[in-house]
Amino acid sequence: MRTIQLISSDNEFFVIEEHLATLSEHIKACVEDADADETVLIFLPIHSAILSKVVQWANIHKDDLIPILDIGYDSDNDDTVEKCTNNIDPKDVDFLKDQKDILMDLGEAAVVLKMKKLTKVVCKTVANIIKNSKSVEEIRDTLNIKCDFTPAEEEQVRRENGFLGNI
Amino acid sequence: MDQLPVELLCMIFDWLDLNSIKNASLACHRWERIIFSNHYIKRFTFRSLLSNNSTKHEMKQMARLMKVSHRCYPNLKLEFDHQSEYTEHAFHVLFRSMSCRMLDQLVVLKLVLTAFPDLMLQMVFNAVPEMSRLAAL
Repeated sequence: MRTIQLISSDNEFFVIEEHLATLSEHIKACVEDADADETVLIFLPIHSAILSKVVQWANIHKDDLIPILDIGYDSDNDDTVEKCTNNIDPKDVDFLKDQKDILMDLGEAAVVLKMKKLTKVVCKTVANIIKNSKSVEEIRDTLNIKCDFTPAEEEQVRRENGFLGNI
Repeated sequence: MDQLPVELLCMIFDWLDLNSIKNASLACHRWERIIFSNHYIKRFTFRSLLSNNSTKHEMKQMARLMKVSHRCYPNLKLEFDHQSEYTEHAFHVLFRSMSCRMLDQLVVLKLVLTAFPDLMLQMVFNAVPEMSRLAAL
């Protein structure tokens, strides 16, 4: 039987079940090239703290009926449709609500691993945080963004934004 | 955080409505640059409404804003709800404050005027050759 091991940037090993490989196009591509009884080692530029969460997320979804890989995010990318971000899988809402501090890292890892669904739920969750924030300070605080605007620059952006409307 | 792929940020911004994206653009320079890059700025229309009630100060501020702005709006809507020498002057100042770079990116220019005196007409038509992408006037 083939074993797949993910190695984090800080050299921690994560043994994953083969069906989890299908959740990531990157892992899938690595596994496809390997022999059936080989041990596949995949080195990733992702820290163990984040990688463990990705594996945990994948395990939550291992029994999903629809293969996660097949749900693209292209279908609701239509500019004319009001963007709907409250249709996140309750399992993901539950999982991500405790991960606010590492949300962006999770998103980055999902991009590296080419995990469409994880990327999508992380993006929607971040979008919801931005939508629900009362002020820009709240956005920066929640998402750990360092403000590099001078007060004058921020005022300029604010003023210019005041003139903007939809198409 | 500073190294987040643009790809990921764009996917996040794709889910935002107008007000939220304006808020997001205030977060940091990088976000502002991405949101108002040529890829995204298509989502916005720059609207200015000048009426007789607009003060000289407001107008000057707007002109200054246009001058220092790095953004190139493809959609511009200039509205003048009153016709006087003053609005003519306002139009002149505003139009002149737009850089060549800005005019070059213009795709839709909407002018709402109660009257269209020769001087304005002249000004707009002189500038049209600089608007290489203009599709609707």
